[in-house]
Amino acid sequence: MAKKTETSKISVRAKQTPREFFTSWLLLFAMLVICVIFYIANPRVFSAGSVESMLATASMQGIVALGLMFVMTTGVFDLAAGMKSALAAAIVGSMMAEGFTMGGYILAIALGIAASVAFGVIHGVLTINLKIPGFIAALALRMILQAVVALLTKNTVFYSNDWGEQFKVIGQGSLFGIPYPFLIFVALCVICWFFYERTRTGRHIYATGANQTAAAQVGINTVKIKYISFIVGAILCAIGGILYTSRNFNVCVQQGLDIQMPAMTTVLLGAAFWEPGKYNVPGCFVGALFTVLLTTGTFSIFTGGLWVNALLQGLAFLIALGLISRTMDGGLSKVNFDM
Amino acid sequence: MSAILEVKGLTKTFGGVNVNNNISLELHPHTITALVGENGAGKSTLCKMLTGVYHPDAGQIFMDGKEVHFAGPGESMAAGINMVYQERNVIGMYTGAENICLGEEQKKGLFVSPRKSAEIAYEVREKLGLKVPLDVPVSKLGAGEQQLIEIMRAFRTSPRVMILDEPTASLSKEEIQPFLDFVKRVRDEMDIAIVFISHHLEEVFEISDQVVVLTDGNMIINRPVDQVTEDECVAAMLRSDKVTPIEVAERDVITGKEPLLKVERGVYDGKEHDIQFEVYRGEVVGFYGIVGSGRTECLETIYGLRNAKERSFVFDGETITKCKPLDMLKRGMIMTAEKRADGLFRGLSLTDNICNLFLDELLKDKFMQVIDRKKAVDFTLEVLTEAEVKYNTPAQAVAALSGGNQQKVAIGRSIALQNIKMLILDEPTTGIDVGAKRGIYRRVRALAEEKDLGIVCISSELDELLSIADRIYVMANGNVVDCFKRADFNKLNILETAVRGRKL
Amino acid sequence: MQATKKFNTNEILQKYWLLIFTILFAVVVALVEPSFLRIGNVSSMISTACLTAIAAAGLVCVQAIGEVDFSTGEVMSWSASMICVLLHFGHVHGYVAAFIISILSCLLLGAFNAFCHVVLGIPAFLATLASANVFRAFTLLLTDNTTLYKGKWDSKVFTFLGQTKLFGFLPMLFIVFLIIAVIMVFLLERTKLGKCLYAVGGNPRACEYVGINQKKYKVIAFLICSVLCGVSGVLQASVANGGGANSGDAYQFQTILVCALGATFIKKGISNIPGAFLGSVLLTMIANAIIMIGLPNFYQYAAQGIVLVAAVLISVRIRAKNERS
Repeated sequence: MAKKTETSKISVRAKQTPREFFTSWLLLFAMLVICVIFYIANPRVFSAGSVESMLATASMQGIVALGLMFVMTTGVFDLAAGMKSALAAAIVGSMMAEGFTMGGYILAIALGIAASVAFGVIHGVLTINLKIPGFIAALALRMILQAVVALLTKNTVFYSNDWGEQFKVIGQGSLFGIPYPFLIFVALCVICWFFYERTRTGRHIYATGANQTAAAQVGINTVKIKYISFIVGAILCAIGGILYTSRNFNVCVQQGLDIQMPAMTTVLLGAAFWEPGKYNVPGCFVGALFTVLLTTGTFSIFTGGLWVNALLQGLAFLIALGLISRTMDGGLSKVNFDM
Repeated sequence: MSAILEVKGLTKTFGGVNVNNNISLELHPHTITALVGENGAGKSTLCKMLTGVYHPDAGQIFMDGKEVHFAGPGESMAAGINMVYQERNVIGMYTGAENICLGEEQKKGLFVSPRKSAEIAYEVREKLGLKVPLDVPVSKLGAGEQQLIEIMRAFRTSPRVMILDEPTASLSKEEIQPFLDFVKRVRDEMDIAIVFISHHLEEVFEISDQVVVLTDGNMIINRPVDQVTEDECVAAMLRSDKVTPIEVAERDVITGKEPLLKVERGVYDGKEHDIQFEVYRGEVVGFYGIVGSGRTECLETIYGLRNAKERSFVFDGETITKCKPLDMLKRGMIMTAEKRADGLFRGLSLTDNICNLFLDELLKDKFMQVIDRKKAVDFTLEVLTEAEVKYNTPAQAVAALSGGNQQKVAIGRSIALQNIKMLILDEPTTGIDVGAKRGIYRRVRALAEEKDLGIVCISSELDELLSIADRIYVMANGNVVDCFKRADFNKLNILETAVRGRKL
Repeated sequence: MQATKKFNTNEILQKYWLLIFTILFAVVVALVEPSFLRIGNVSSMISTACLTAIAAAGLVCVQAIGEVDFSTGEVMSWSASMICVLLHFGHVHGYVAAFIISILSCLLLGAFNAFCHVVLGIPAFLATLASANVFRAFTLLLTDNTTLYKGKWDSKVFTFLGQTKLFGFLPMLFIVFLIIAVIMVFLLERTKLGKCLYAVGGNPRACEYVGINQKKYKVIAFLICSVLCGVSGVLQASVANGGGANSGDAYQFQTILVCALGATFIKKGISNIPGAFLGSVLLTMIANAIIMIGLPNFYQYAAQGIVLVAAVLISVRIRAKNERS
């Protein structure tokens, strides 16, 4: 019975059916189509400055979306993700106002990330140990963080003259016209992809969300994995928030509130891409670009553009969701809304 | 050959009930040990102690001669004990290979390598001589193939002891024999001990080397397969009479009457089932079979809960081919749920649970559809009193009642149906204490005899049916196999019919 | 005997803690800052609380069937904008007509939600997130992205419901809320509709056994929710004497928050209207008190979040204690 199969004959994954193939690439295809349409309608959408801005915005949104993705993979509807990112930014901002120099930036950033992680852990405790429904815990945390961030930013759009010019570089600088945030985003996407798909821990995070019983049966420590997902999520959200502040050179509560919905949309749209039914990193990447492109484009082309943007976002969402429910069996992790 | 695993005097008690009593056995390599017993006999508890999910109250476990204590499933797996459960739990979007390597994905350097994982998976598949595709998402595979994936997953860690829980339960007829051959091959070629939990005696006798029969937590038989017969097993599976049977006279309600329900045909769950049976008014008809014999599915099809490609039966003179529960309720048929949780609204009050069935009759006025509260409460009290439910107030949540009382509520509300003609009870006494059971038995008999209802009682406890039924239908593999009249009740025969799956 | 007596007080405490806490809170704040209980302040708090509570009454229906609706804020914005646009541009003459049309138009929005969830099978939380976007688009289109304020309408009539205070202190809004609350509570507690809604949320599987049509009641729940949000929106416009696409933004999360708090009142985990009202009152009081005491206004969020966590912890404890099987 023990024969060794020729390794060259092994296929790791079966070919997708045409229908699946079409579905999984639809988002990218749609985005390209929209690019073409927008270009024809108003070529200035793709001017250097505009592209730079779009890439930067997509990056910040996308990084928070990556963080959100890890938490949602284990089934928690994280409404507090945006505020976690704002928290990190607020900590960095207020510390720098105390007069930190270049070296101190590292400390400030580290502390910002640490603060976000702390709240990620608190979220975990509320959800896992105290058994508060994940959705409510997120809602409560969101509110509490609103207060904390407001406190730190003195309830205004916070900016300090003590913020050194060097802090701007990361958010506003660019390499050959490609904004740094985008490079960081790409780098993070690659890292996250490796973590999520090619390390045991990352794969276990997915497994715990997909079928907790199966994960437990093979000996995965689901409690530990859930905490890890909260921590990783918090770190990514923090990075996104700090970049945002660096770019806009201020920090405020509204920043956290504003980034929540776009990040959520990105993650959910992304779940319809590449591997429909599963939250995934390439999906976050394309989803972020897609939503920002849509927003920017509709604003430039239609002078009363707001409504078109909202409508298209809503429709894109619905289409993505419809596709997910139709193509995939045992798709997105179940989210609980019990009170 | 010395034993890989040995247990001595393993005992476990839950809430005063002795679920495993002083069990001692040995598991040797290259041996298939069959673990046989009816539902609730203690098989899964024993296995859960072996896999570290439960801790024994008394007794010891030895692996390779050394005593071991498992704090949790992780430790037992590390020790080499692995189990494949009855219900499927796989990651739908992962391929077979990915599922097989779940938990211990193969690395190349720092990172997980899907190719290497696939290689390992294919190796396992080769070793076991299977042909299940490993490169498609398992959500596309059938239940049988998914089970094989889970088995391969368990084998990947090269276990010393492999427990298979009702492995043929989810296999189609064509898949069973190849599977049994596979298990035999594993036994012959690999140095492991296999535990094969099953109800199906033909399978047990075909492949096992050692037969262990558990009944009511006790080990009745533990012998090599050539030293025991099927009949002995069946006899051992019979439980001791725990309940003094209630007095039931032999009655003839059938002669000269038209049946209340006459079932002709049913095509559901993808195939045609032979489910011809009859129910008359004034009688209690028992439906017996081993777990998985398809009784609930059959009755659900009649009640309209299950979609059927084709169905045909005559109820109260009316031929029916399409129905939904609401229609059947209007016609006077009602069914209680097998799992109590499915039939009751946990968080809602007793009043709500009972009255939700009768909302249309409790209306004060048709226009606003206001419910007559007084009428509702009076009605609830009536039902609760008649059903002898122990409760605090009708406003309390039904979840606060004991299991027995919850069941009484479910039954009580069912029979309060105005024009009720037929009541289908699905496992009505599961998890209920002895005293409450008697109460339910008396009730059921009274309903048949005094109220002239036709009652179908699905049960896995043969004693129960022998006690209260006028006739017993035996089902196996989704078909009605035989029918026994009270005058011909013979416990051994009925059990054998059910276990063998065919008429004697 | 002693043991049962103790249990009863405990039970009452757990059931009514929201009410007790609200009263205590009011008392404590009043002691620290007496102007808290000034008539003018109280009536303004009640006004704000009522707006949230009316929308929450609708959300309660959706939660009764076991789902959520994230489009409440946008529906409110829509109806607030609708009534302004209708009257400002003279499409409709007469406040009453505009009032009715605006609210009825929300039926269509509710139907959209119901369609996405019941027909397309999209989980409600996702469907309503998406529809929130779509509704917002409609509102923006309708108002051409402007906010209408003090438009070409008779301000006295327009703000009648929102700004009038009976006897000098009782807000008209409260009367409106009371009427709606009484109707809704009656509907939910005393009619077949209410029983069926809670049944669907209680155990969809059991509904099949007793013959309750789940789909029908899910649709009804979404329709009711949108209509009530519509009412709230129109009243908001009345209070603000204008409206636009951002009218409902603040209320989006407030409604959900308030329902979550309300679910811990008496019914232990089941969303209900009296609880939601208490919840709105409490949240409004917290926001108001924070300002009165002189703390920066953002502390209210922290307070609200903490109260929510505490409330749910208590609720989870009660439920765990109550359920045996």
